[in-house]
Amino acid sequence: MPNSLNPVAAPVSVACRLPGMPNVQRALAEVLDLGDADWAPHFNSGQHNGGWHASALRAAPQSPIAESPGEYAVALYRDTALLDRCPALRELIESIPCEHKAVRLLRLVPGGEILEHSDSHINLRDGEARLHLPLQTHEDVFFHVRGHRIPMRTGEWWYADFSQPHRVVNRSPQARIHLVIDCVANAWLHAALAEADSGMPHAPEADPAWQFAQFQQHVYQHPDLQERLLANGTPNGFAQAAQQLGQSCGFGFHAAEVLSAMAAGRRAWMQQWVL
Amino acid sequence: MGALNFAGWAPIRIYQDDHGELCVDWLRVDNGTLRAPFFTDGVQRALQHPFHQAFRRQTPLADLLAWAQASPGLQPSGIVFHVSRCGSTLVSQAFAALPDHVVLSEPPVLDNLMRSAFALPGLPAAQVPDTARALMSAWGQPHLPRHDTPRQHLVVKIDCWATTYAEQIDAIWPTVPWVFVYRDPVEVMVSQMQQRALYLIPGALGMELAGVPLQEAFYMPAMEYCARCLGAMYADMVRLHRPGRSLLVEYRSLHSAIAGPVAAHFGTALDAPAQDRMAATFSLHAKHPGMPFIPDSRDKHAQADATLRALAEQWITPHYEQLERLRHAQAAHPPAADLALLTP
Repeated sequence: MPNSLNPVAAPVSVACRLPGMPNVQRALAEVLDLGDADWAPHFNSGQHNGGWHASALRAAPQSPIAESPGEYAVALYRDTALLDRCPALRELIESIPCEHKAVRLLRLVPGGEILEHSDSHINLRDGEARLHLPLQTHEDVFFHVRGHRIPMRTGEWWYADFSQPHRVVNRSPQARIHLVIDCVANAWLHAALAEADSGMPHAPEADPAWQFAQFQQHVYQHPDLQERLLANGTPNGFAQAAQQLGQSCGFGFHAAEVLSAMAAGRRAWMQQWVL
Repeated sequence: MGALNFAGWAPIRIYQDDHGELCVDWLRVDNGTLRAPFFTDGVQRALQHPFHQAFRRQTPLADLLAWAQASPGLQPSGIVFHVSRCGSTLVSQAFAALPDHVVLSEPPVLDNLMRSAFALPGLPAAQVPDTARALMSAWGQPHLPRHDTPRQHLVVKIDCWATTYAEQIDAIWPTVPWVFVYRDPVEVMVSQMQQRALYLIPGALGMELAGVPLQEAFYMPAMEYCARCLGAMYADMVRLHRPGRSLLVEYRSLHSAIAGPVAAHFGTALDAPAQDRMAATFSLHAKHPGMPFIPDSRDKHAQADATLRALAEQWITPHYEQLERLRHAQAAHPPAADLALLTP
């Protein structure tokens, strides 16, 4: 049942935590030593609010944008000069015994928002996977994949199906920094995925998506609120109005949750015709 | 789930979720939703509004049944069967113009229930009747928020292939009046061959039509398959016809029939403003109400080639002629209040 009152862990096929917990302290120290020039704004500027930055550790030199993962054959990817300065990061990367394509650091600054999007080009169906290792994160970073909050904690390797709609918001006071590896799926990865679990869930109350689910149930019981919401017919205006109405009723969520629910609603309706 | 309050909400879909649980998808209905020529178009248009996208109320099927108990609504006052491309959309549009009428025009949610063996395999057949009545009850709530006129009638135009499950409908609503709408076979055939309905693609409904095995249907010329499917519907209407229960309406007499015998058959009393509202729909294209209606029977006949005529003659015309004989008998003896059960 969608919009359930209780948080439900994401199915392992959507996101899962791989076994093993490396120590990431030395690698984090290397990252924190990087200079401003080592970071670029994430190339996909239409999908974030300016707070998403990338740094390439392995990339295809053919790519016009070094920080873009690109869609090249695995043989075309090369380590960047930056990686030579980061031996602890290299050690973490080499602990994933797959052929590597793009390897990046992704940073989301406090207040940073990555809007909901899907990356159709990388998933297990195509024989590839994207793995995340949080080097620094926080309880108030909210990483949602297909409506589920993914409980990624520092030092945990996570697989997620990023061909599903996903979004991230950092409401904590510090930057969220992930090491992200795109790799070719092999027997080792499939064995690791078979051993994976759904992680340790966060308390639901802080999750704005959970707050919005509560607000939905509240609205279903109050026709007057339905009328007020129906008065606004433009997507962004509606999302803002819903956020304000939610706040006045004591529910803490943001326009992103409303927009995500709208997209999920459209998908759910259309999915009935997909065989 | 909190207290049951579905005031203003109506079911647009019954489905099985990822875990196989039977669920209902609800829509907060407004007055315009059911004025569209087809149920699906009205729902699709409503879903453009951000509210309906963000507040997709989805509940277990049990909530629909409980809501029918807690707040009983109207049951159908009339069901429209038809052979497609025969003016049946005008019938539903004419009643939809009346503010005290709820009109459902080919709602897939009902069709899926009737074909549950294919569309909802998790629903036991024994639960279909109560579910169908609860579905109508939810749509037929007399009072809608912001809707001043209480609703008093519920008219359902059902898909054309519904003649194949008419017995099932009869068992669920044994006394509800029926109307059978049909038209000159050549005109219907020409319309279908110009723009073929999805159900005339073999296998699209998940069931065999006209007794043609799918393996045969796949290799059959489209025009022949069309003639045989349509012929089966005309034949069904002959077979199912019960004077008093089912009222036969031929395309050429549609306008006078809707505002006269059909309204009376469905228990609708038309005052002068209601007659005007209905009449206003007669000059519009029922499926494209932004366009005027232009009679096209003569054109349709001009467009029919010899093959089409021969197929219509072979598979449909005998049943059409029998319907016409029954209709003339019906005109000579107006329907009594004889709502005998369909099954003898």
